[in-house]
Amino acid sequence: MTTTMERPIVGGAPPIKRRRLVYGMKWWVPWLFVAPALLGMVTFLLVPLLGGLLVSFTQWDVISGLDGIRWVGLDNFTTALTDPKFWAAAGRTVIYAGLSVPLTVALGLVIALALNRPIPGRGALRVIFFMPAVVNVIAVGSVWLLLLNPSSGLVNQGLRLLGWSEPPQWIASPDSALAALIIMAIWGGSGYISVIYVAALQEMPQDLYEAARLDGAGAIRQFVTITWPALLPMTMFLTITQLIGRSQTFGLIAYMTSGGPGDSTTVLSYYMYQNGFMYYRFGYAAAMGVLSMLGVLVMTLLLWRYQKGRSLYGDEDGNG
Amino acid sequence: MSMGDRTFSRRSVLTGSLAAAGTALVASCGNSPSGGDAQTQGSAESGVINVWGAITLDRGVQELLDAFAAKYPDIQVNYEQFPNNTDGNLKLDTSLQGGAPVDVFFSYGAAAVARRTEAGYALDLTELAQSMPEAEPFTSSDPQRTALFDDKLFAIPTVYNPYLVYLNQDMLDAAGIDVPFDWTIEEFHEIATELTAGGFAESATYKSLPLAGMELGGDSQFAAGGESSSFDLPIWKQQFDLELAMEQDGTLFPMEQVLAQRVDLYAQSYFLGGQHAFYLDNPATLRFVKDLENYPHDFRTTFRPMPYLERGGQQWNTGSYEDAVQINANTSYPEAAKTFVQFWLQDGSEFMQTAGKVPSSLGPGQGAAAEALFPRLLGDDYEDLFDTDALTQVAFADDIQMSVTTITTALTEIANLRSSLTQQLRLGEISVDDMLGRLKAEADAAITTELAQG
Repeated sequence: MTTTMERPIVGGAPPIKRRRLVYGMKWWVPWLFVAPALLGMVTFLLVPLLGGLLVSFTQWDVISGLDGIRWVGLDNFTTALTDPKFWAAAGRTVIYAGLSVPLTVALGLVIALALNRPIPGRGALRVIFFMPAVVNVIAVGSVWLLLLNPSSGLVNQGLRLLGWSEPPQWIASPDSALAALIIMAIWGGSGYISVIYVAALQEMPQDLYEAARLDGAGAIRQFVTITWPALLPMTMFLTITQLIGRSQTFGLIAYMTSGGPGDSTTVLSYYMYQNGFMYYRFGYAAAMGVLSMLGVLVMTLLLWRYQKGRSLYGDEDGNG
Repeated sequence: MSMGDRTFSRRSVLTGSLAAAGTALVASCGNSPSGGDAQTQGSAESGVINVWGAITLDRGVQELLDAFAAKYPDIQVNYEQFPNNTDGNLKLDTSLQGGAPVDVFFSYGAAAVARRTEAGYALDLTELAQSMPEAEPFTSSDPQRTALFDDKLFAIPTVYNPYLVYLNQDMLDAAGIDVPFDWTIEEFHEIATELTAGGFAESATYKSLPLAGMELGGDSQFAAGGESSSFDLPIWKQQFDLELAMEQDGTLFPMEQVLAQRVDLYAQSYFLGGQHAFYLDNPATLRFVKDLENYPHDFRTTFRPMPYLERGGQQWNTGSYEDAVQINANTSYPEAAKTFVQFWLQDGSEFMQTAGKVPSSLGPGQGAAAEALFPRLLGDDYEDLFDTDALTQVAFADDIQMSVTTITTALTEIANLRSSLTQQLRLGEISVDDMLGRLKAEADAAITTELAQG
């Protein structure tokens, strides 16, 4: 297959006929192959993303349609940056994600190290630890509501048995509600993390451990010098993806606390939901979404830079 | 990137993407409110209409639809049930805005009615209402009926919803307490204390008393003119002082348990389970009281008016005429839609009584007519389960003043602020004065923002 392209005549020069082939195909044939994926990406990713960006510069209540859109420039962003509730919600998001992500990853690693050893019922244990990741958030929330009931919940009954006479009120108190959500997030996420870690651990070259043992390295030394550096890229990947997910946490908070008591669990995603879906301030909600995305992007870049060159095998390009 | 002679720079891809996003945004805006310039089809006896309501089919709607189909076989009705919550209402709003087939829809609460009417999605129903004795009173400027927009009626309430106190008669008898029909706030609190202190009830009530609404009416949260809030008025302090006192003496269901158990959607369970003495609500709760399968109980329920701020004084009932039906201004079948609305308000209203919906054609002083509703409204065993004399006397009393909300500025935001601060108050985190100071400041800011945005 060939294609003929004609250039316009310039300065009386004779027309030049050129044949352009891409791997023996007309230029548009490769586009035809990538078109479905490209179309999907543009429709479902790029357009909503850029649409959201455009909305963030407007004042729009949705229901008024086109007539109701008003361009307000950077007003929504300046409003957010001077809104104490925005900063309070951002602070809660940082606490929630900043505590739950490293603790989830750490617990997941501990579980993975345990499950990577030849123990009886290892397969069943892996399934059990993975279960929270596949259970519906409402079902999970309902169970936790029972467990965390301040007076009749199993958690506080256990704590009282251990001698804690006035255990936390969990989601019934502004002082402990966010902590309760963090505990639930760790419980729900560590099983998934452990499964990923187990897969990585099973790919580890055993000769490194044999050599370390011959050199007299103990278990802790082996972990510090071999396992942890080898797992660092995986750890960074899990940390970044968890950070992105946790900064957008919504379902559990909407069901368990609706942002309360008071505003104690109103994280950024819930504050955006309130402004957009309850108060019909979609422009302001979109602006907060853009600021939130920028915050997560900065965190991601910092983490990415931190891990470069620190893994057992050098950076992500293998240039050790 | 380059393909043969065709070159796509990053800039051109980005520009194209932005253009596509802009186009998609414009397209997603769908139809703007047209205010009734849609091409009309069908007639009063034929057409296809899509009805959006929050009541599920099994609560009388299916019976109503069947009766309508029998009477108007050439009008096809598709019923879309949406949950009356944030997500469900947004779904209806975006459907209206996006041009999805919505011909008749129900709006629950003044804010929803105002939002959809002001956006231009509601047809003027003044003439239709004037043609029906059941709806005609809503076209007047009677402040106890409904809100008009530019002297026109865009939403017809279908339900009469006075606020009542449900009481456990057997519990009161066991405690030897006789509750007067003209009881005051102080007597309400005293009886509540007596019942909880005597071990007859775990708590007296789940809900607190809306004193400000009782004194100030439907726009109780706003100062005159609607440009600021009213939380600096003494009645608000009185309301929250009482709420805090009841929280502290255990007559009010503890906030700790409200939060821990997320009971806001099924609080009637505590009254019907015999743990609480009172339940404050409109007649919608009647459907739970008669439902012995899901709420088994053997006590008799009696009724009293909301306690009085002053004995013998006049006050507002914090209930109102609700469940407003509206017709989409963009409907292609306006005549068929009007036929359906008329049917719902007239012949159809009897089917909705099973869901605890008292027709809006009834109101204060119409107790005699109300007795005909009892079999459907209260179920087959109503003589055993309900003190029907008290219900008639209370729900249809001559002196009921129904309230109407006419100011809807930042109403949802103010409700959220109140909820958040009330939680903190009842958990002992802040004082009443702190709460009211913050509530006043934040509500005023919300109102100012909303007014500035037009």
